[in-house]
Amino acid sequence: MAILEVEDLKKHFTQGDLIDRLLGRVRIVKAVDGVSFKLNRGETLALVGESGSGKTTTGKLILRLLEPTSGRIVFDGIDITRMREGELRRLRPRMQMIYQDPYASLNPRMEVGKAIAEPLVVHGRASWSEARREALEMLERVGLTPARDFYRRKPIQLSGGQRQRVVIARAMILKPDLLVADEPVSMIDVSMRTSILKLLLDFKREYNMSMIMITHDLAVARLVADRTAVMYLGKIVEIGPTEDMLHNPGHPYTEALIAAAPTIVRGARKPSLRIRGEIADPSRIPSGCRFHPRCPYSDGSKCVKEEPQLAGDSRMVACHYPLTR
Amino acid sequence: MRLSRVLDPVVSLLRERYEGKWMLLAGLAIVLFFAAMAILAPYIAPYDPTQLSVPLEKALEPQPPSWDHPMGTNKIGYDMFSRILYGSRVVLYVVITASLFSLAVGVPLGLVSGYYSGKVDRILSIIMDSIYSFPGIILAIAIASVLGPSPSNAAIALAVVYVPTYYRMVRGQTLKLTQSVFVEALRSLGYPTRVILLRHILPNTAPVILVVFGLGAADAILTEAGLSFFGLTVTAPNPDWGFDLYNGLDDFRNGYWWTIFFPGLAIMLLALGFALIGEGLSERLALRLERE
Repeated sequence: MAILEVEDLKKHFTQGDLIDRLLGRVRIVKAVDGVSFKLNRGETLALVGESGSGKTTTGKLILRLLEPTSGRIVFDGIDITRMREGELRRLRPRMQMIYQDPYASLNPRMEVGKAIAEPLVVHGRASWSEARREALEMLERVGLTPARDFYRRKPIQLSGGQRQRVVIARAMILKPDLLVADEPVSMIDVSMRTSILKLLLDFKREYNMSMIMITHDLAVARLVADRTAVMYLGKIVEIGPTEDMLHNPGHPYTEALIAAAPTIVRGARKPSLRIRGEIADPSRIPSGCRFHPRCPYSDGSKCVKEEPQLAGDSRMVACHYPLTR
Repeated sequence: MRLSRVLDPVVSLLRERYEGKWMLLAGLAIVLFFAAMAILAPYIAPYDPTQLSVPLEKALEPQPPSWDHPMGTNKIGYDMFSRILYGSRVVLYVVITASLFSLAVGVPLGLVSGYYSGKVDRILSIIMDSIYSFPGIILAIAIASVLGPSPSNAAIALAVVYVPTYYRMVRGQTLKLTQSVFVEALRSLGYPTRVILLRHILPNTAPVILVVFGLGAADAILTEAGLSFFGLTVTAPNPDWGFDLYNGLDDFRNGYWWTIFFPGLAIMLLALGFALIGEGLSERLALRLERE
C-alpha cells in the first residue's frame, strides 16, 4: 500500500512587487510544475536533477512546509493538501525531514542532547527524564559516544558530520513512517558520507520507513534508492527502478546526467552524450518538451510544439523518442 | 538548578577575554556603585534630604562644599550630598521599572510580529513606528503631564517611550530566525508555535535584548532627568537629580556652582554606566556572531 501519493503537484512563485504587478511585469517561477508519483511503504525513491530542477521544493511541498499551488498530496490515505496547520501538527511526527546544511538546522543555543529529547516531550510521548534516557540511547545509536559527553555539547562544538548525526537522531527518535532527506550528505566530508547513508538505511529497515532521497549525486541514488525519479525544470522526466535506469536510461536527460557523473557503473558502457547550456529559467519554461533546447535528439518540430507525457508502467519516460524503445 | 542557569552565563561572560570587556566591567562597577548608594542611602546620608541641615542664619545662602557638607548645601539649607544619595533611589526606581515594563511589552509583541508577519505585523509596526516617531522626551512629558507628577507615573511615561525600541530589535531578530533553516526544521518536527517562540527563538534574541536594555536604560536616565527637570517626577521638597538641576539654575548664575554640578555629574555618570554595559555586551555579541 502506498504511504504517499502525489498527484499533479504544482508550486508557482510570483515574483515582483506592487509596481511590477501594476506594470504587468510579474514573473511566475514554476519551481514545481506537475509532479505525480506514488511511494510504497518501506520503499526509497531518489529525486535527482540539477540545481533548479525543483527537487527540494517538491520535498518541502510533500511535508507541507510550503503551500502547494495546486495538486494533491495523500499521506497514508489522508489528503493533507489543504489540511490546517493545527491538524497537520499531529501528523508531522510521522513524516520527518533532514536538511542539507547541518550547520543551519540546529538551534545554536541548545544542547544537542536536549534537542534530540525535546520532540518526545513536545508530542507528549515521554517526560523529560524518559526522553533524556531515549536521547542518550539515540546518541549511542548514531555513533556519538560517549553519549553522556555529547549530550551536553552545543552544535558549535561538533563537526558537520556529527551535527548531521544529531539531526538524524532527532528525526528518528519519533520513529517516522516517511523521511524526506534533502541532500543529507552533500555538505559532509566525503569520508563520512557512506557511514551516514548507511545509518539512514539501518533506521529505514528497522522502522520499515519510506524515504525520499533528494540528491544531485547518482552514486547516492544508486546506493540507497529502489526507484529513482529524474526531475527537469519542475517535472519528472523519467521514473523507474534505479539500477535498470542507470544501465539503460530512457530519457536523453537521464543519459546526460549519467554521462556527466564520474563512473559509477563498473564495466558498463558509458554513454558519451554531452548536453549544451544550462537549465532554463523556470519563469520561462520552453514550449513543447521543456528539455528540447538542450536535447541533441530534438526533431525541431514535434519536440518544440507538443509536451510529452510520462508513459510506461514500471519505467515511465516523458519523451517523444525514448532511448529504450 | 534554576539559579545556576541564570548565573552560569554571567560567570562565563565575566571570565571570558574579549576586546571591549573593560567597558562591561566599568559599566557594571558604576551601576553597582549607584545601586549600593540607593540601597544604603538611609545609613550613609548625614542629613535628612528634606530638612534644614544648617543653622538658620546660614540657610539663606548656599554653603560651599566642606567636611560637614561634602557637596555643599542648596539655597534653602538642604544637604546636597544627602539629596544626591536619596535622589539615586528615585532615578533607579523610575528607570529600571520603566525598562522592565518596556521589555515585558515590547519583547512578546516583537516575537509575535516577527513570526507571523502579515497583517498582525503590519498593524503592530504602524503603532510602534508612530510612537517611535515622536522625540522621546516630548512624548514622555505629554504622558507624564496627563498622569500627574509622581515617580510611578514617570515610569509609565518612560515605559511607553521605550516599548518600540525593544519591539523593533526583537521583531528584526525574530524575522531573521523565522526564515532560518533551524526554525523550519522545528516546524517539520510538529512543534507548536508557542514552543518554537519561547524555547527556541526567544533565547536566541536574549543577547540583543540585554544590549538594548543597557543602551535603553542609559537613554532613559537622560529622559527621566528631563522629566524631573520639568517637575514631573517628584514634587518639592523631595530629592531627584533632574529636579535639583532645575532648582539650582539660578544659583549657578550667582556663582554657587555646586548645587547644579553634583546632580549633573550623577546623571552623567549613571547614564555612562548603563551605556558602557550596553556597548560592552554588544562587542561581545558581535564577536559571538562572527564565530558562529
